Amino acid sequence: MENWMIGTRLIILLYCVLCYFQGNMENTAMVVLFMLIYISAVTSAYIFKKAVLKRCLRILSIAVLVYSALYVQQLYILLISADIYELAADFTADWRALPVFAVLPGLIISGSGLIMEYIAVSLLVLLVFLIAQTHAKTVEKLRKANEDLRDRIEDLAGKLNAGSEYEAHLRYLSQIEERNSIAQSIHDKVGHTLAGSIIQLEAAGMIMEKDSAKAGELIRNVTGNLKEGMESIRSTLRTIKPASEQLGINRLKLILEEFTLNNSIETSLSFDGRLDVITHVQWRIMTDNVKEALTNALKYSSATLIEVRLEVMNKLIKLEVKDNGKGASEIVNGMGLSGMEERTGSAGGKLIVDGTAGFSVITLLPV
Amino acid sequence: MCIVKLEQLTKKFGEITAVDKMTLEIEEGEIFGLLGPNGAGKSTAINMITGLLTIDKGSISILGKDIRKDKKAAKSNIGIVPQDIAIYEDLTSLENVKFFASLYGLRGKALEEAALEALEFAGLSDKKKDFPKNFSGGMKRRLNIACAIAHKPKLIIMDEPTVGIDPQSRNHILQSVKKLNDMGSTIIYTSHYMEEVEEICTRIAIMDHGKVIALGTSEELKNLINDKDVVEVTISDPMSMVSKEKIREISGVENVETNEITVKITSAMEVANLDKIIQYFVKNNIAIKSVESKTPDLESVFLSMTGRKLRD
Repeated sequence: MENWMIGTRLIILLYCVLCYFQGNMENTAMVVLFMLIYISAVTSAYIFKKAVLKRCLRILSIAVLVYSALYVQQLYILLISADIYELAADFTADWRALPVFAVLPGLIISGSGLIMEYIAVSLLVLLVFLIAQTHAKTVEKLRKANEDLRDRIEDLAGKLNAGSEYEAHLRYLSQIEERNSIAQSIHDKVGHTLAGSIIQLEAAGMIMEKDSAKAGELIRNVTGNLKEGMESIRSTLRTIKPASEQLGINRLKLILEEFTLNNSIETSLSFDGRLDVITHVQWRIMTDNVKEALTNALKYSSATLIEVRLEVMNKLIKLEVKDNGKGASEIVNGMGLSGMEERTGSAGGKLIVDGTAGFSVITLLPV
Repeated sequence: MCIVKLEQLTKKFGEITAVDKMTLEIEEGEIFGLLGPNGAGKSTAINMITGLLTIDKGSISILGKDIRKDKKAAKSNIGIVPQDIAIYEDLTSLENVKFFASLYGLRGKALEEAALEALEFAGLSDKKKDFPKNFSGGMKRRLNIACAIAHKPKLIIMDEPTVGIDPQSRNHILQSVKKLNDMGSTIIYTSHYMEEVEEICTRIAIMDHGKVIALGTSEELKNLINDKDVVEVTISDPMSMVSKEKIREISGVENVETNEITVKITSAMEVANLDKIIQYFVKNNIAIKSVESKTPDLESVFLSMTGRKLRD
């Protein structure tokens, strides 16, 4: 905005100077003096930040121009419209008011032949001023929007951070809770059994010599108690330890959810059959293959949906990762397929890759 | 004894791998089926076994001899019925068979006898003087078979021999495959018709995208997917006549479900009890409207494994 107006003034000033050289070149000292005063007034108006000071300086530069137009060099009146517009724009938002203000100085030179030039220059300056103003407003708007967006990003990043902290916290809490319940159940079931057994054994030790029959009975009691205790430890452990199929299917779910989150490609997971026959090694192979296939889909398929289907048949485990992308008429090895193939082959399985309708990678493993 | 052995057999056409690390052993006396959709790599594998295509990687041995080192021995033991019929239309049937048999070294009387025998086998004795120009597709195919078997090869390879022929010739071909097998030949049979393969083959390899994805008898392959047979008997008499308990007593039956008109009986696959099930209905004078066996077939095996159909 400022640059535009300064540039416009420079051009007009240049025009004035050239005209001055072409004329009779009288009064040089005064002409230069007023030109310098004007320039310093205008630049100061741009340098100072205070609105009141700015206005004062603008009024000063207008006054300088009026004075010099009247007494020193008439041409300087051409510069006045730029200052008038800038001053007037502070008081009115309506651009149509601006040329009205510019009419006033016209009266000063109404008699001379300069009036036509003055009108033309004022209108041109008005145009430049308006364009620069709109431009400046747009830039300002965008800057503000940008700032808002940046704020929101910061805000969201903060929330995300808090979220993951919360998640970590939650995980920690649930761990503690779990430990607590394990400790509790060990204490309740095992602790009591052991304490009772110790007391009984001590008693048995004491009466061993006097009443061996009674002692024997006590020892049998203890044996029974300990057996019970053993059983309850086993059952506790069984309930604590999650089944491998739960772990496996949850891991798959997690991988897919993470993938959707990071790449905004929809995913779905379905399963059928007895998942409990799948061994740890097989789960491992399948999760690795799913990851690999997802990476491939991301790189090559331009798909919007990836379906993962796990099916356990009578003697066969089938895991299919299928996308709805563009597929491949020719399947070229080296898309990470050989790794999957090797992995699957090592467990006695087969990998079937098909690119005729989307891209599908099937891992077949023996039960 | 192992008659054909493929080890890590691989063939590439440009970027496309037509046969991919195929490993397979075919025993003497088998009717071995190669089943798979078009483009699965069956013909490419066959063409490498017969020496029509070079081997990129891996090896093939026939009767213990590497076919690249001992070409003659390998080829003299093979009879080929190619996918595209290969006979001379301006030679008579007999001349055709004699020509092909002579390529294998038969001469004179032995040649004549072998040729006639092969024509007899193909059911073309009465056409031995005719030119195959006027033969139907099925007859041409049978003549082609006669040409392939006249020299009594130990291994007969048939590549889609039933494509595009009438049902009668098709039956004849299937019967002759069984007969050839009874006579001591080992047969490799490729097809994308799963019914044929299921009917005649002792062992089946299912191929897809150049790989053997499953191998075994028809029963073993079906067993991969499921181990239950389901029979649905629809009756026209009231359901009250059916006793679920009595049906459950039939050997192999694991579950019986009924609705208004159908009885759904699930049995273990290894027990063949359809006759006993039907017998129950007949004995109790319950009128059967229809019996539908929902046993999985090889088509459904392929579908379950690949998510695609054998035929488009």
